Amino acid sequence: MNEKRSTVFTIAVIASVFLIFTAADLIQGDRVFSETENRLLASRPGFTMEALFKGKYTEDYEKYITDQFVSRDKWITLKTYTDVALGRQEINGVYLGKEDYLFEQHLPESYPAELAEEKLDLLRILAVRWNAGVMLVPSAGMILEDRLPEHAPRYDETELLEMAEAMLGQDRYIDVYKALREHEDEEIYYRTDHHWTSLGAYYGYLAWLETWEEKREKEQEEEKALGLEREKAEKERRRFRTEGMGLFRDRFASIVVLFPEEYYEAEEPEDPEEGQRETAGVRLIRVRRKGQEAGDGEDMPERSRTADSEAPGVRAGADERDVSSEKPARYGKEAQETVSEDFLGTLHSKINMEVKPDSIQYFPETMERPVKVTYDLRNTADTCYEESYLDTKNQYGFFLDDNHAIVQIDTEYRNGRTLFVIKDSYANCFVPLLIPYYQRIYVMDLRYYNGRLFKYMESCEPEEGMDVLVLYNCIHFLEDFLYVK
Amino acid sequence: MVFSSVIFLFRFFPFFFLLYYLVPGRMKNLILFLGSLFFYAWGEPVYVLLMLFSTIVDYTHGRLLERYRGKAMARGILLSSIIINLFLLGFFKYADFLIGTVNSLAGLSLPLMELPLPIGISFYTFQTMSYTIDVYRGEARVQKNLLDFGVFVAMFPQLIAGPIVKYRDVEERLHHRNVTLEGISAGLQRFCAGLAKKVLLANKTGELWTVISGSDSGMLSVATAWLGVFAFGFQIYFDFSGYSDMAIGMGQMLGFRFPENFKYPYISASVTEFWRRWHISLGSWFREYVYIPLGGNRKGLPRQLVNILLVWVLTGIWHGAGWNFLLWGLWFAAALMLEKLFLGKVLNWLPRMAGILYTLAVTLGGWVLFALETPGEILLYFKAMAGMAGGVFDDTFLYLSRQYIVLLAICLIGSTPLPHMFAERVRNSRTGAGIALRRFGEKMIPAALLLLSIAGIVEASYNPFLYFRF
Repeated sequence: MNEKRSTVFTIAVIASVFLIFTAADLIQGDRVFSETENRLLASRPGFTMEALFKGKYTEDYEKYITDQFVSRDKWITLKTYTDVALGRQEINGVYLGKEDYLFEQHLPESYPAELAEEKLDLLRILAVRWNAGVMLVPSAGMILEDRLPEHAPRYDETELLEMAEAMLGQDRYIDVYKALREHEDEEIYYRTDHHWTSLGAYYGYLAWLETWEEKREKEQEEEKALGLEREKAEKERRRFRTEGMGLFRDRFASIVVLFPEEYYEAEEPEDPEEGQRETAGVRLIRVRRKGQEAGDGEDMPERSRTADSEAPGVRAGADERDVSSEKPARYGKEAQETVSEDFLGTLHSKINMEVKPDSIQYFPETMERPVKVTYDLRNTADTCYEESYLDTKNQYGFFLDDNHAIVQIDTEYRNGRTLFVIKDSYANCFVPLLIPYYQRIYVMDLRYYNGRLFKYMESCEPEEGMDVLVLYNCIHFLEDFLYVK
Repeated sequence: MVFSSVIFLFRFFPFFFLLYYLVPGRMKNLILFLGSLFFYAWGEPVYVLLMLFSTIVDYTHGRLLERYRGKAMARGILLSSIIINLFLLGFFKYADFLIGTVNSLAGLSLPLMELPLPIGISFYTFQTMSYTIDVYRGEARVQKNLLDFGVFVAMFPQLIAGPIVKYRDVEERLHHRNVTLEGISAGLQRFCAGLAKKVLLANKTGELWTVISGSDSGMLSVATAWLGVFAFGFQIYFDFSGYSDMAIGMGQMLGFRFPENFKYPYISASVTEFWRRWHISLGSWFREYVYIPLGGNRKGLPRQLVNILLVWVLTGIWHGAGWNFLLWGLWFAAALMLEKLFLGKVLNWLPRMAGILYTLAVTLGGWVLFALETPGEILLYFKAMAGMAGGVFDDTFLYLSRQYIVLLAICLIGSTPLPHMFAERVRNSRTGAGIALRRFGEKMIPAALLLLSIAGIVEASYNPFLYFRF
């Protein structure tokens, strides 16, 4: 090959890069939506002389051409790989951590102390007015910190958590951080998404349960002291008459007996071993019929036994379950079911690189009993889990049909309790775990609700009162928590 | 239009050059002129008229100078051209700066005009002025062909960001030039190299500077502060020299030979040397049309120092309508004057490395003045560099240096003539392997750089061109 030919060849090689992509770009039609970027791509701008002279037309046209450039996604991936080759460990606000973990970057300067104070003040008003429990869930980078890149700047959420705990007190503040810390070596956060996994939510649930039980215990003691059990039993008796068979999931009753004229006392049985089964903090106390001697407690009316065994998953004093394990039997880790093994979450979308996908689990026992789920006061479903999302990019939407302003869950656990949850998307995989504890659960996402919150809550609150829970990821709390009283 | 954009690379560039190569020689200037107008109007649909106006004005002045050559009137015509050009520049670029200054000094609150700055005005006004001055001095022949003159002013490769081409640099080739295969090949390679410098080096170091400059200067550690100035120093160098490379490369593709604008400025061993290696066309312009007419160094040392001061005040504010740019100019004026006085001799006597370190210190310090706009910010940053803010090292520095170490190493090597020397050695090789390597490299390296640059452009959210406000 002589020099001249080599020169021509050089021109050909370099020029062909220009020409091939120009031709390909002209040939290829326009895309409307980019799945990877999860946004509408710019479309061809309309031409007006005014827009032209203002420079707007050319500006929009450039945006349009760049958005629609052929193989756009592949170019973005190439750029990402170039950065990684240069040793970068942070792409577009996402840290590339160890063990294939991706972490959302939260810079300390973005969350000044004033912001935390402001949001906590808002929270305090809510918590005091409604005696709400509060769960502030730390981000992955707080718990899995040794998997972050070295010296990576990170907003320290523990300051916020300490302030929250001090402000709310032990009764209302649920220490999710501690719970997750104890299990930091487990898969409690997704690798490719900023949410916690169902297992992480489960550990959060355990923390919640502790507080819930303490609350119930206190309630019970209070009522005892005030002598209100009578009234309560009367109410309960009446309710059973109207609603037929149902079972309490709480600590006061393990059997239901329909004997209209009698009422019951809840007592501590003298012999702990006889009367109680301790299963991970939920104690079952036999309710003895009034007048029954101690020791007769074991002798349950035939009817109730039938009632027991008919309703599945009932823990009412039966020996069906393994009560020696630490966790509530129905929510064992093994009881999780995998619904997806190719989940690529929000963090993956930001970096556009090939990563190991996550798997999504859920607890099928939460759906043991039928539920009626109402979304935004309109559409209803008979399950909390929307399988159709598993075929899309946003698989996390599987939980509670992604994001809605208000969701209402009516359960078959007729204990008369209501729960109102104010939440962000972290709660989506958490709320179903609470189904067995409440008859009705309201779930509200403040980002989509513009009305007056307290008024709305008052309209939802039944006579007996309701529990209120606030569940937010720490960062979402600082960024999104806002309401109008 | 920006060179590093999809619209330029995959619409304008291919269509323009295909057309340019297809049309016969007579039509090439027409295509070039119209194409350049389109290129400019794309970004400045209204100010394109201003540029045309400036073109016609100086074309006319050139003709008039020819007509009245030797007469007293000629002086007047020259002055007219200079005044009009400087007025245009002053009005559109410096009006608000002056109004603001008057306001703060006299306690007034005159309204600002808030005119957007026409792209490239600092370049094309200087270019047209150089024409009239050269014609007046008899150093260039008058251009009678309006189209050819229009090509000189408006041609898109150097219109918006230089190099500042003097008329006599392109005079010969303006009407007729040979486009050779070697020229096209070399031009394409040069273009790809420039594009890569801008997208792969400048934009990325720019990110690092943005992070550091965006954080609280009161908390910066010494190490991070210095890391920041290095980042900015690399950014502005690769940004600007990359753009010059693209301009020169495209000039070659058109059959022109533009002058070099950068010659590895960061290896300079004195500030005097630095300004012979950085933005050469601007320094050359000021020397030719301000410094030498003022007397240069031929009227004694005190006068020379004054001349230097004046030229550098002008150089400073040419870069931007702000006090920090004036300070920047003065900063270099001080260094240059010191070097003229005695420092230059001292540096000659010291080993070269000492000179390089000294020059780097002056240059990087200068970049702080250039990059930050308010005196408050500048002072804070200097304090941080001196250790009066944060500690010496901190986590931020450890993190950022780890993130950018490879890039910075590439930038460091790229700032030296080493890669060029290596390429030259390969280019001049007579061995079979050497020739094969050269031929392979000539094709693959520009193509690879081009592909990587395209990836960066498509992905970019951050793609500013620093010198664009000129």
